[in-house]
Amino acid sequence: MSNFVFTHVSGYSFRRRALGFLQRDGSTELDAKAHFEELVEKDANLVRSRFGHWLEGKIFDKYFHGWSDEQYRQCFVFKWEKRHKPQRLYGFLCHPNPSTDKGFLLCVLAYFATKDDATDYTILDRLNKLRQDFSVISAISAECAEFMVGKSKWNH
Amino acid sequence: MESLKKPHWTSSTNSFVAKISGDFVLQIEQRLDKEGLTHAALAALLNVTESSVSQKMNQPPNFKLSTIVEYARALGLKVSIVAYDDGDPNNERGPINSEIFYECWKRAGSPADFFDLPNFKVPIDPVIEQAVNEGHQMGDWPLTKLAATGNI
Repeated sequence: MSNFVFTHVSGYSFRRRALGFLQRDGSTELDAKAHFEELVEKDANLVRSRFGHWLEGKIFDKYFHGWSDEQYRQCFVFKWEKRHKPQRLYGFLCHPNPSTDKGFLLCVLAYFATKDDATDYTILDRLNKLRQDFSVISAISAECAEFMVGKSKWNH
Repeated sequence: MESLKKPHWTSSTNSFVAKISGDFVLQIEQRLDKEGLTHAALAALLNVTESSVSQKMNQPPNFKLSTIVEYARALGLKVSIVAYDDGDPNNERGPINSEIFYECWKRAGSPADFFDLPNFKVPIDPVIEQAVNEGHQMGDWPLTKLAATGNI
């Protein structure tokens, strides 16, 4: 039985892309959702604006981006600053509707971090492990029914 | 898939303003990147402190219209305010990104006025149209007809 929980970010209309948080019962390691929910209104509005820009299809690396290295191509980050301190929400990308909408993209946010300029690749490595974890796939499938079907097809 | 999670996060006036301020700041940031300018350079153009600019860029405030115009004009941009009906009266989908309007405007050939709009026709007063169809010259028109057109 999976102890991962996936929930969509509320307050958006997901047309071509979607956003959600991954948590783990009894653990604070996956802290993206907790940090997001603790943001004061002003900061939450800023982050939600950036979520909105990504959902709308905007490309702007200062606000969010993935990585071009093959190894980290599914990793993704949303960025903002608070009192000159960089704030980050890290996640991974996947296609939750492989049968009905192949192009539909989901960003599963897992980790919050404050950081300096250099990327912390240990977070990206952890994201890569997470996105391939069967329990995580099951948790996402609980909200996106096609996801598991697509995964079992790919695995055969 | 269209999944509607109601209400949209911009359902309050404050959050709606935050969203459209964020869209505006994104346009300013893109312009700065395009021109190779920093926040400090923009501050110099505006004759304000760099921290004032950075604060607005990193935490878009409830901008005054005059501030929006000043920021845009400092970078050689103009600003329009657009009210629109997108068939979403309850704002379940949130506002349309202002850049979408800009992209559509550019794709329509950057019309400068209504005459430049594709397929735009100047509305013809029906009285004038009838007179023209009847083969009248303007000088022939009786005063009552001219009065009806509002041209005298």
